[in-house]
Amino acid sequence: MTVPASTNSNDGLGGSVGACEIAREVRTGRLSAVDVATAALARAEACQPQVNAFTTVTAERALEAARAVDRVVDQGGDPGPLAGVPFAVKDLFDLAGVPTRAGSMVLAERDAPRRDAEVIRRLGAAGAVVIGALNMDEFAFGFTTENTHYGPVRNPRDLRCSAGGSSGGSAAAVAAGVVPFTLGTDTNGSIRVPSSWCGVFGLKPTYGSISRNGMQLFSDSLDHVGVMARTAEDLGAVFGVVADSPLTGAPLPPRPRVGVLGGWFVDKAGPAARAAVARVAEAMSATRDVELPLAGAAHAAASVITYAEAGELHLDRIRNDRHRLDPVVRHRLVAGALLPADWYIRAQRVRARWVEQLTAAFEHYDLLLAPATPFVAQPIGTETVTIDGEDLPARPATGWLTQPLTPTGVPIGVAPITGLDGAGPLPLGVQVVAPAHHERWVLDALARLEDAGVASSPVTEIGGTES
Amino acid sequence: MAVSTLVAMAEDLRTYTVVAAGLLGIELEKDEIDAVVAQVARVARLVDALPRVPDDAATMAPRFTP
Repeated sequence: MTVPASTNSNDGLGGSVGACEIAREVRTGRLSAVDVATAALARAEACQPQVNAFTTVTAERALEAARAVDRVVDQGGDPGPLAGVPFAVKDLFDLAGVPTRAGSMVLAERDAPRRDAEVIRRLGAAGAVVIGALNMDEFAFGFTTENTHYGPVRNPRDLRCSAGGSSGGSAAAVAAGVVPFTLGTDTNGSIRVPSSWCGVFGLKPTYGSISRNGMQLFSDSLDHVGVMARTAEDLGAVFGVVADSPLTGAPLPPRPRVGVLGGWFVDKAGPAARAAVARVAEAMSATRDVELPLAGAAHAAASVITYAEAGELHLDRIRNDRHRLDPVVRHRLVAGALLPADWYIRAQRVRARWVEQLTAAFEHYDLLLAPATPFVAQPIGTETVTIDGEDLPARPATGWLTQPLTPTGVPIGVAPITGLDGAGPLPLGVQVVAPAHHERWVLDALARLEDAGVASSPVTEIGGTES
Repeated sequence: MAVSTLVAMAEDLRTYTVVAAGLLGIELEKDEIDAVVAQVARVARLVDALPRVPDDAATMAPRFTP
């Protein structure tokens, strides 16, 4: 891909410019959508050798869409609320004409879809411009995006480290300023983990609130579509376009009742994670710990459900395409396919009780806080992490704090926190958890943390992506 | 390691894995059986962390409001 680089940060085209700001400028004709897309494509190209965030760049399609936006503006029409805003999607959403890989070689050889996934259609109708598909763990089964087939995604905050997963490319592209927002999916933490490790804002909305039409599933009863961005405002603007229902309801109360999840969520957190939560808790005047006894069981339930549903979903592939799957992923999928029904049903019953327990907590709290990951991003290839003197299996432990919450389906935002003792430049995210369908409360809380200077997501320049 | 129900009935986890894979038409190479067994064992340990909750069909069944 070769595109002209016209990315002076003072001309409104730089990587640190947000989605809402771009849309405002394009809608008024002060900025050309083609120039914005061209700059984003140049950043994608500059960033790719070091970060490896993209699996496909759709330059021609992007420029064509951008020209259409500019024509509407020129003719005095309404180009949509996200006019000219470049974005990219995890490579499990269908992009017309581009094979949907889902991180796998097996799917790469199928015919390309004829239509876009529903979320991409909605974003296009709102004037946003898709520039490509983003790297991920194979079939979304992982927390580190160390993809055997397409290479690992490197973390823009420290290129030696993993970007997290499975939506690693989505988080990295935002952190590096390639695009102001991306789409990802979250089954056990696949938006929240990479948001935490790459230091971007993330939103896993209420289960079922965003269409999965035209998307490769992983674990049906747990799969959520979500958004990553560098501001809470941008998260809200995108959610407002892609969600089945607009952001409605009362805003977050001025003095919300905020609790900090204790027990499992403290026991499994390292020092940086505990410090990040403490900082957010102080800013939100949270004083009380909330201990939910089923949290550990909920983690187990989420894992069992994921194994079983993913194994069933991919049964034909593990029968017929076994040599083209990453062996580690194949072994997980085979194990999942073999699980006794008793185990799956037990897990779903625990899940039902866990939902009741969390729902009851929201009778006393508006929001709950927990770290998104037990530790900051780890070097690629890390097998073991030592926390408080205990050696932990790095990959499974990465999801310990996100997994329990996914089965509840409630909306969760990630606030990126930096400047943590012992973490160096690496960020760590804090989960802001709200009752079902209260995305507005999550976004209001993230915005307040941003305004207070507690959470932020600056661009890390990679190969000239900032300028 | 305590494992439950069907797995406990099998001669061991390895036997269960090989037999169940065969029943589902999944071919396992000899050199990958141990890796799959390790994954099944990992899930079995997770299952041991699941409390038995009342056998309440309503947790899974559709609920209709009259």
